[in-house]
Amino acid sequence: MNEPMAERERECPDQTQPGWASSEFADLYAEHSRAIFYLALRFLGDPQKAEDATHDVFLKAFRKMDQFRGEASWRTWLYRIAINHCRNLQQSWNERHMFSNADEAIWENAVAQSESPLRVLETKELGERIQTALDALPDEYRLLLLLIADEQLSYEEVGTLTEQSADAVRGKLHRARKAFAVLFKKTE
Amino acid sequence: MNQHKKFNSGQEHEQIVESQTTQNSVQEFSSVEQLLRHDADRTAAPASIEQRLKKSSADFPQPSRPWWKRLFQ
Repeated sequence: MNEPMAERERECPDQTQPGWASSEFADLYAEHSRAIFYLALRFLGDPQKAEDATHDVFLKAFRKMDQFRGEASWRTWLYRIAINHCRNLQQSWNERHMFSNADEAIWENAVAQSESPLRVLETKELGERIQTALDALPDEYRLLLLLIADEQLSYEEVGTLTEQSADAVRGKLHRARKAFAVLFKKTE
Repeated sequence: MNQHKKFNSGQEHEQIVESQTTQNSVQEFSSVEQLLRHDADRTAAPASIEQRLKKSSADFPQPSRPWWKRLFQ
């Protein structure tokens, strides 16, 4: 009659309960929150906005869990929500500069500087240097670098998330890496 | 699996040359991705997000499981 709550949850996982009682969602948060927060932090460039965005992304995921079709991984599904959310925020803030072909010419001429390894003095300022370099990149390059840095995502999945082919991702990544390396060296 | 796919796509040469992980040590990253992974590894989501989520998700009914999960599991 008065069986423990955990016992009832196992037997009736679909019944209406307070949100976090869903162990499936708690597991989802535990496994992916770091990756989603990192993407939001480095894409938006603001810890408070990243915190709000991560909260909103997971709340949206919680409310739409029943719409998850299993065609992609949970990670990819969460990234899709996060990317859309962060892009919407950026559009409304209008904080970023527009990318132009002139900018691309600068990156293309920067090959020599970017092919040496990145030597970094491990300090608390390292995150600030990374953020400064990422902030100066076009949104598309910044997003590609952040996604491809996640070892759980393949080029194909990054292509799906950014609506382009895996080959296009590889081509743009080549330029994005060079651009980042140049900008990062400038932060020394 | 995905990791394997990605590394087969041109990053096999990636090696990290890392000195001691003491504060202010010099580290060398052979790719931007390695640097970002290092940055991500030391960046945790604030605990306050989880606390906020627990409160805000309590305002909504528990979502039903995806249809395919209900069907196959």
